[in-house]
Amino acid sequence: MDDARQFLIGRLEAVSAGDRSALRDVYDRTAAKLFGVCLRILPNREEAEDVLQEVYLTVWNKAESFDCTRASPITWLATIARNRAIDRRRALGNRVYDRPVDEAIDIRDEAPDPLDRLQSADESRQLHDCLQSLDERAREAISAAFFGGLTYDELAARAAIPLGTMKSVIRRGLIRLKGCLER
Amino acid sequence: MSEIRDDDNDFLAAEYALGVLDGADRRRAERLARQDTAFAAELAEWNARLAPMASRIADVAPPAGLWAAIEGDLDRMTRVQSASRRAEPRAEDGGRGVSRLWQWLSLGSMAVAAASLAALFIVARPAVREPLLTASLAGDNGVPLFTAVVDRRSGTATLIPVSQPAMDGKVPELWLIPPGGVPQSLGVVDPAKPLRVALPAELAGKAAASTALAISLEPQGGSPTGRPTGPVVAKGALLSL
Repeated sequence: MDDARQFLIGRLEAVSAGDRSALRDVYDRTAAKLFGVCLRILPNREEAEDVLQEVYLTVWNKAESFDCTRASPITWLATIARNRAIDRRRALGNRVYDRPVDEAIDIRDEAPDPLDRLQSADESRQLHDCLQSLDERAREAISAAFFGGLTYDELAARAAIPLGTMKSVIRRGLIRLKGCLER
Repeated sequence: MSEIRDDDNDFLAAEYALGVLDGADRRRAERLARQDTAFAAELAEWNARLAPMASRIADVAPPAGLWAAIEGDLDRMTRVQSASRRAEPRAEDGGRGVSRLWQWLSLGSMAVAAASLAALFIVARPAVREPLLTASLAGDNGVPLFTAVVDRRSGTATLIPVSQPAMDGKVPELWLIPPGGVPQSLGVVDPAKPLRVALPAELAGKAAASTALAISLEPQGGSPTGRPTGPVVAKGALLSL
């Protein structure tokens, strides 16, 4: 296990004991990553800032439920950020304008990321390869859902295919992804 | 495993982790995760599977003032928690409004058990001078269900469940009712976890004394019409402290 990951695990343990400086350390190491996550899902910076604030309060309140044997710290944090951002996006409802398709991240174009080392490099590489093995429609839909927080309805409308077809595309893609990752 | 059955629950964990579900299905998945350890484990597996994708999102530095805002929230949260634990005012909390507030709270709601505490922070963005506003949201029988405190100086409101209404499969939704105005939703309240909702600027300006707050029971996911459709189980006017 690398140092960055070990450091975050230790600081999250301290957060669960009520150590505010530990939360600051977690914030300093991860806020830019989580802000990037929120910005992809939410329509503007104001909402993303608001949600990011909420994310670290959630971390403060729930740090004791973090279990380093079940998740890496960055997975745990990114999951909280995504869930909070998605909930906010749903709550905003129609006020969320639909972003142009090209803003959905294409996984092939993302720059290599310095925080990648927080994630096991192998894990990241394997998922990347498995995503590449999906057919294009499934890969794009899964990427748009993960990065943009789009619902089935939004994805179907965007791809101009029926809702049921979009569900099948994604569900088949998820099954194949799972199979590929278990290989 | 190659066959896709149209059984929504088979994919619920994966779909929650991916983020494609609408609000009602997300609440359903969260309920399942609380009640069913197998489902919770499946959800954790899917989160772990998909999480490496997030490492491909470019970092964006948040604004410099954000940490200070988080610290401000932590201060308020700590006060709420210690006050509810002790159910008595704390002198060292300083601000006279605050200690009087907790005195009032402990009188008004007996002891708010720490276990029942789920603070709801509503972030408003007003720049107003008036101090604290408070409302006790009670049912027709006078039993308080929620206590709400609006601190417009910090742009924060806190909602503390005091007792649970009978839900009948519905969800409580919080409404702001300006004097002579129509109810405006502040969102669905989930007493099982702390929740923070943005109070839009146009609503923040209306959060004045004589504004009322109300809780109605709505279908899962909240009122389909944008107006209260179910029974109002608690209501109360905001009063200046």
